[in-house]
Amino acid sequence: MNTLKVIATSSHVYNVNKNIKVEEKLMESRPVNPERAIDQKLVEKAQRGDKKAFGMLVEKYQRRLNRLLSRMVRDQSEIEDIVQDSFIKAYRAINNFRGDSAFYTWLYRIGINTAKNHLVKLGKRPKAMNEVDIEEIENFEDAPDLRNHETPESTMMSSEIVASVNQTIAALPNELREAISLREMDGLSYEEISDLMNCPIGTVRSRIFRAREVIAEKLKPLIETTNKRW
Amino acid sequence: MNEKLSSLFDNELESHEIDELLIKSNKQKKSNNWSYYQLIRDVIQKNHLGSNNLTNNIMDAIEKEPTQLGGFARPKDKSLESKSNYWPIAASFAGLFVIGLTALNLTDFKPVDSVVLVEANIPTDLINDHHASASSNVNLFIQASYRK
Repeated sequence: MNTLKVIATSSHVYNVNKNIKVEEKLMESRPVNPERAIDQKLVEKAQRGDKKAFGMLVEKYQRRLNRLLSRMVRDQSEIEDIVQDSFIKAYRAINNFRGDSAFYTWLYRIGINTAKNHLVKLGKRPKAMNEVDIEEIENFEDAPDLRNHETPESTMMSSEIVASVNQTIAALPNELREAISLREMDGLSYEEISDLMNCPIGTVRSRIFRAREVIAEKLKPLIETTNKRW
Repeated sequence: MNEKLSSLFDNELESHEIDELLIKSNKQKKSNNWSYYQLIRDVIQKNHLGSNNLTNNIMDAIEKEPTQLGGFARPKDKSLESKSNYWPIAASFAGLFVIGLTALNLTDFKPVDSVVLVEANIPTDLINDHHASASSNVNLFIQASYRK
């Protein structure tokens, strides 16, 4: 009888422990947004005085912020001023960012408030924006209005860049072209691409990198040697 | 290193690899292709390209800003704050104690035996006469003790 009790008790303990372990595993495997995690790393670096890390965030988000603000402000040069002010404000306040939200959400809020203040200064009534609006703007496809405010020179430069990228992609070896297309057009992860292309993840990583390097090398003379603005 | 940068750009890098990469990237003087990767993505995804000067302008302005070295801003610990309120009181008490101790040391003097020394050099008869003629309470006391 006692033996049975012991067995029953130890079995219960085993099950409890097993459940805890399963829960821990679930916690570990809970999907964390990798983009947010990487941004957080860059922010932490910037908080420790690494301006280069902040520069990577600037590169990553300045065009997106530009597109977001183009919904509120029509003049392209005004938008650029607001984008610049927003990044400076974000940098000054970077130590207040604790990662409660994604970095870009925090940055977008700064951008929207800066744009609102800008419009108020000009005596214009800013459009009210809430969380849903921000989400909608983040996901919008393109900003056709912006094109109307581009100079002929910037339009030409943009066209040259687009043509160069497209031509280079077309001339890439099949496996590189397929890898970069699956990543950039379809937004697939390396794991998904490796399944589709039936090759190891390391190979996917290498193919995408090589494709990017080829395209970047083609773009460099166009951007660096000509002091053109687009 | 650029291959890792490309993986970072795709959010496909492990946490420890990011740290290593950023340290290496800081040591490297040559600029990396991060901005080109972003440009290529924008072209492929048919996004508006914006201005190439904007990033440079922003980074020039950031370079002029004082370097941030604050780390994470954390909410204040209320319990620590309430404990720290006692510090001024404790410091006041310590100050008073030190002042008191110094004052005590200054007033702690040795008994002066100058009177005895003077008395020793004066002949006893003269002293007795002096005491006998002095008109004070002390005089009575001395006279009594002298009689003993």
